[in-house]
Amino acid sequence: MIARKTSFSFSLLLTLGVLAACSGPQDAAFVDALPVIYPDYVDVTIPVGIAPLNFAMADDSVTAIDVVVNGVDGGMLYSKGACTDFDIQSWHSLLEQNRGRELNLTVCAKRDGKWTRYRDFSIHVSEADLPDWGITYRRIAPGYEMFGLMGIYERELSTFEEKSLLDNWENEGMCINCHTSNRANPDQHVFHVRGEHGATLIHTNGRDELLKAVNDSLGGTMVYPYWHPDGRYCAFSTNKTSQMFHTTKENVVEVYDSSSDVFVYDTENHQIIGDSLIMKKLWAENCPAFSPDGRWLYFVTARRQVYPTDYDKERYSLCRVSFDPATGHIGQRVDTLINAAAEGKSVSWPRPSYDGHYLMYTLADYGYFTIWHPECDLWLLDLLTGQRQPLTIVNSDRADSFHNWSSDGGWFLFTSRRDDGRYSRIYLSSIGQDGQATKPFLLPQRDPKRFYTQSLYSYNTPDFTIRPVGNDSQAQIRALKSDERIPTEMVKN
Amino acid sequence: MMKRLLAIRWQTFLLLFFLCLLCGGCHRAPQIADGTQEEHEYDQLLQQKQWAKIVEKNRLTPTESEACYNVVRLASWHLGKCSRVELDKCLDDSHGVLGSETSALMMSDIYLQLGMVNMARRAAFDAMVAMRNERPNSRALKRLTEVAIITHEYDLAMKYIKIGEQYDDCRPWAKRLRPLVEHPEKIAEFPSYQKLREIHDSKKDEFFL
Repeated sequence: MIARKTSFSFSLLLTLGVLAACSGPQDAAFVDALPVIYPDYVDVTIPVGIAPLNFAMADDSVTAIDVVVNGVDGGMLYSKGACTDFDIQSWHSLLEQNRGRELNLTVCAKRDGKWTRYRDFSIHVSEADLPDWGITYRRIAPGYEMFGLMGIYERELSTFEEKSLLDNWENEGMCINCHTSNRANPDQHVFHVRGEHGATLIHTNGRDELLKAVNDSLGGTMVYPYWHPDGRYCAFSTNKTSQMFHTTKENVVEVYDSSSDVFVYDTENHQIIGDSLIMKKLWAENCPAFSPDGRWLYFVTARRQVYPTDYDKERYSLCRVSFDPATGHIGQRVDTLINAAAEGKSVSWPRPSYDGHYLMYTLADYGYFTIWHPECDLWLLDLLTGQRQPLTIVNSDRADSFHNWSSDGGWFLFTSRRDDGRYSRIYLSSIGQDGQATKPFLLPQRDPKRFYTQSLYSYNTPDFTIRPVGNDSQAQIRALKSDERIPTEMVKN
Repeated sequence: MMKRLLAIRWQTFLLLFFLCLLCGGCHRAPQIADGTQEEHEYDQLLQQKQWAKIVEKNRLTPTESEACYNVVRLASWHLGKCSRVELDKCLDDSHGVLGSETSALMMSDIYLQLGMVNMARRAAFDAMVAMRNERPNSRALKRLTEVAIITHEYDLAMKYIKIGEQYDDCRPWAKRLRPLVEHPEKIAEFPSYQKLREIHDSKKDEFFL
């Protein structure tokens, strides 16, 4: 009898539990306000192929959310839980069905056992595709004297799949610098590895070449690369970098170069092509980038200062010099496109869109290592009109930097510390025909709130990749561990 | 027969032993030392604020570690044997000091005691990465949380607290510090943090290399 009673009570409790679990927000109280969600995906514009934009309420006291997504051109998705978890295939179908249209989202949140319904919001599905397969980036935990686990990774944009391209778990603690491909094409890529077995790894013509880390004539390493569109040349800066720390200021660390120059590396004969115009003794040239037609070399330059005392007087201007890919010769005259020194600001990281229309850059109060400058913003220079404007909708009150274009120039990505001021995350946005950017969205994750809260890593120098990189990491590690290095030869124009 | 079996077992044991050694070597994650024995000893004395013992220990056997020597300098300052200016001058070049997890933690403590919260954070970051594993160092994570609270970075402090709440050794401090993030005015109940905040908010900025 007791057993039957217990069994009955248990069944009753189970039924009540199931009913409670199934109870929806039918009686939710409506508040005329947008839901505060994390990540903030309200009114963002996304490409059709992007992974599901899962989100949760920013408020930790919310125990569940109930989300209905309706496509204006049809289709519906539903998700309920601590965080949305949309089915990837259904999400892609919904986006394809609503290309160039809106998704309307109804969000209810459960707090203290009571449901609240918020004002609906939209996500805009762009007419324009994002043609690239995924992105690459370096993930690294903040460290100044030592470095911990780090690596370069690729991530498929239509799913949440991430794969290590090379990390220092297996590479005996080497410090791996950022990976740079040629206009999002991984057939050519370069990265530098620091340390005792350091090298610059150039992947071109289907094979890896490991260059000696330091060229004695150059007096330094090959630091910030940018490929020539034809693939024969790759521009680099060489930097003697130092860092110093503020005891109380918001910008915790300053990174500056006691000297820096720009040069062009010729992959065919392992020559470093230097020129007095881009290697001036009293000037610090930096951040090179070729124009999409390969006939111009953009770079930034600043008059060298007394370091560290005058670190905040170093302001970089945007310049360009012609380049002849047939001969590898650098032109005779440098044009100054933005005289930032005269404006009291500093330009860095010029990145021309691959259609030649725009040049995106970062603008800070001084210096070039902008990822630690909260005032640093992204700006857009229209190369056809010479007009320039801040990307107001994209920028935040924390450091926004390290941008790159999609292979068709319609989308761009960048890193921002807007979340918590300390850890940089990847955001994506697009540029319309009118040159206006759309509200950026944080790189989607399956459970983004948990993922980004738990992560103690920052993302560096992200870029698009038209397909998986497909590198043989084991072979690259073996090569890096070997003593075989190709010397480079310095030639001057 | 028995002898033969024993011989095989002996050979098998040897083979297994060498295989274990080999596999252990192959799969060992890269590690930076967590610190020398000497660093551990000085670190313990530093945490116990045993200033006289620290100075005496160094007098008997002069330390070779730059981080330990900074602990000695701090102890001397506490005992009135050196001025703050002398101490700061010795500390302002930290190159090579943060060579291990323990040295970074010691330096973080020193900087915090001297009111240099940014530098305390810098050293704590280095302590976090020194051991190259995914599990955060409780003391370093706590320091990052403390500094974030002192510098009014509450989003960041809450992030660290949420991470800390997942680990047994972090949970006590995470529980103690959470109210400071949820109710920032409670910093008044923590005089040491309050004082460090006042220093951080008002002190003239200085450079450290």
